[in-house]
Amino acid sequence: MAAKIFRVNMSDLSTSIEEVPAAWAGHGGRGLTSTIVAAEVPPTCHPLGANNKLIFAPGLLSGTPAANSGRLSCGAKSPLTGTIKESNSGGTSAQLLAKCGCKALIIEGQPKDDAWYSLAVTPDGVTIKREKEVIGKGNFAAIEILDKRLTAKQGIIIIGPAGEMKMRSANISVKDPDGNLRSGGRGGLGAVMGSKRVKFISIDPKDGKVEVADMDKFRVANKAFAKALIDHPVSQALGTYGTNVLVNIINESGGLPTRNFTSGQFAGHEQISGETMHDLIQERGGKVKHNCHAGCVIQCSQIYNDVKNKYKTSGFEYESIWALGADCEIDNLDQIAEADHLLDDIGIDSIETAVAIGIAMEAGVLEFGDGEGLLRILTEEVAKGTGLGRIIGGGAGDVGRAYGVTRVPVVKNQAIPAYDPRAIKGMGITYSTSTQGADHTMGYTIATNILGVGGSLDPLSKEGQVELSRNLQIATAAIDSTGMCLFIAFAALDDATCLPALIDLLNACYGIELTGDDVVNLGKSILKTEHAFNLAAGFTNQDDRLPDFFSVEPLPPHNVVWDFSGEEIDTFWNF
Amino acid sequence: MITRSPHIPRLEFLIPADTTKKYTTLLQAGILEARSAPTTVGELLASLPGFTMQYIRERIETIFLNGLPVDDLETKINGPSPVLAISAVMPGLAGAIFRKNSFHAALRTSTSDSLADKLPSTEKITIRLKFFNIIATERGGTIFHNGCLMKSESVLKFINYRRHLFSHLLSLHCDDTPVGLDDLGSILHSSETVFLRIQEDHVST
Repeated sequence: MAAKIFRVNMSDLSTSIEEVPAAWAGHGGRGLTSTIVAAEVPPTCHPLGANNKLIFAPGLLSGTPAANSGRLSCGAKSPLTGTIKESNSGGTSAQLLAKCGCKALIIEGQPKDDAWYSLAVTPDGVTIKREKEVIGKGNFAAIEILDKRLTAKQGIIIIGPAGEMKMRSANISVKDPDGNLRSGGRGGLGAVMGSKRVKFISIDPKDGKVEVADMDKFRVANKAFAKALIDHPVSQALGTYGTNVLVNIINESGGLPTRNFTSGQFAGHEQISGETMHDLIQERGGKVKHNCHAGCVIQCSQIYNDVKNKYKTSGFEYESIWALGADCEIDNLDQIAEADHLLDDIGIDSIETAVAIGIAMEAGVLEFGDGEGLLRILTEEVAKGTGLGRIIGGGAGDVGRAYGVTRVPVVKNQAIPAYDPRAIKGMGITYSTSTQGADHTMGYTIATNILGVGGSLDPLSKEGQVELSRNLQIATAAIDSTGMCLFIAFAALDDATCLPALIDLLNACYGIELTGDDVVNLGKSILKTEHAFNLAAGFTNQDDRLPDFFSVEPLPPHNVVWDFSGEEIDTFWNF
Repeated sequence: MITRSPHIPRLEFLIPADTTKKYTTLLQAGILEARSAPTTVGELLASLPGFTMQYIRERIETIFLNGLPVDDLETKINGPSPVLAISAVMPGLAGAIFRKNSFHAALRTSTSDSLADKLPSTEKITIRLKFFNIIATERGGTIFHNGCLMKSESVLKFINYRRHLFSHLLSLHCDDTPVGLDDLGSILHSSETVFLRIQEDHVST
């Protein structure tokens, strides 16, 4: 049975199942969420109003046995940036939605009353129910209740208190295979789900399966693809240290933003490094290697236990540890883990919130390095939605405006993550030109050689550097449509068998004959669609800029500044 | 005020068999290697135990000298107290940008006028050599077995942060004299550097 569009109207509490329009058929994941948002959401609408729509879409390969294909895309107009937004996460829901025969779930409208609802997705469609029991609860308590109410294998997509309060940094969380949470962060799409008054979505595929056109070819391709992933040394590093392996490297480069972006090195980096984290995990009986969705062969996640050897957090990422650690000058990994757990429970973005607190530290709300103070602000202010909590929950830009701080590291109002663009200018090009605000995942290193997107200009010229960044973003947009985890990028870059195997997987799954050029064209089309939405929403080239302070404040220890002009950045869209 | 002695204490840890990997994270702080200048990155690495040229070329994918990425193993090590850091291949765009001879190196920030170029040449140099991630776990055992010079502060910080680990020591000697774990603080405070040897006990069962 071909997958369908499942639509929910929260204004009249109706649901429907629709055929997939021809223009949407070749899309999945980010490509599909962005295509639907561009087609159906008025670009100038209020992101928390009835005219915005929240879209969930599994990737093109989700629900199949393809390795690492379990990412769930979520899209809408972002309340944080005002741009189009796609956020993706692991967990079980992408695969289960695909097995329900759901190509995309569209949630539109807004209830007229203050009631809360849940949605139940099965192959038969969507059922809307009133919900009371888990309203106001943190994510972990809510999941515990729902696990008793629902069958264990059902997927759950949920918002925490931050989403209910429509904080602009709120996440959408997705239950993972262990019953813990993965986060669709950045951009505040949890607030959009809260504005629809949907607390959670359960997914039960019953005996649903995803059809594969040629299973023999699919198996051969999947074997080659998985082997390329497993054999790559980056996969080995990720499976041992997680993404936090980057702390020492980025610190060494002088690009680890520290003390609200005033230095590029953190004296306490050894206490929060991936190497130290690995040792503590082993010492306390945690897991250094863990998958966020079934079929992941890289296993960059981990289970981090506290000093009493009890579970504290999982999926403990470099960017979160950097933001809560170096940017706030906190060198205690256990305090950082506790904060990560609280952020997951509140359902709020760990990068945005921690950068916001770093700015609050600069404003004198609390001292840099005050880990206990940070935990108190999360539990007493953000979780409870006090005035200060709502300002911090509104993100880095809101804190800067509220306290008159001028060093506010945001692009399109979204906090810049863990790589200072003065010290690593390639990241700065991505941050400034991304269609979704500052985001380190928008321009990955995906097979520039194989896809022929390496560029034709001198790569050492600024024009050539912008071209390279553009091509990385084109390739990333395409991969984001497959449901694949971005960490396939490293094998795809180095192993000549990897990307062809991925294309073979798509061809075997759908009985088509895609080529590398088709993949590139898909990526271009997605970027252009997203850019057009933003222009219609009122954004201009002046929004594709880093904040002034990056150009005038040299970053120690190399004392470098951001030196791209607006005109040079504007060449990004010349394609 | 702490008076530092010119004597460099020689610390020897005896640990249970097959447990050296639990200590290799200490190498992220770096060991101190004295060399006559000029020397190159490749020469220094090749002089280390277990570092064959094949290992250096294929496994060490990310190198920083004084905070700047290195592509060429012939790069000269300059200055009175240079810092060299070595790592396996790293994830992410940033990881690719800093990778040795990477296509994505074009996206690095130019730092040609940086501190590193202004460092004077000297005849004797002491290089702080940091081992990160898989490189530390793969080669740390040999380095510790042979012994290495480290900053006392780095060892003390590691011990304080990982105190639980040191409760498993089978024996601890300083300058061939048995000492207790509680003595380490004063020993390490007495000198800026310490010679550290960590050996596994392959005799006891």
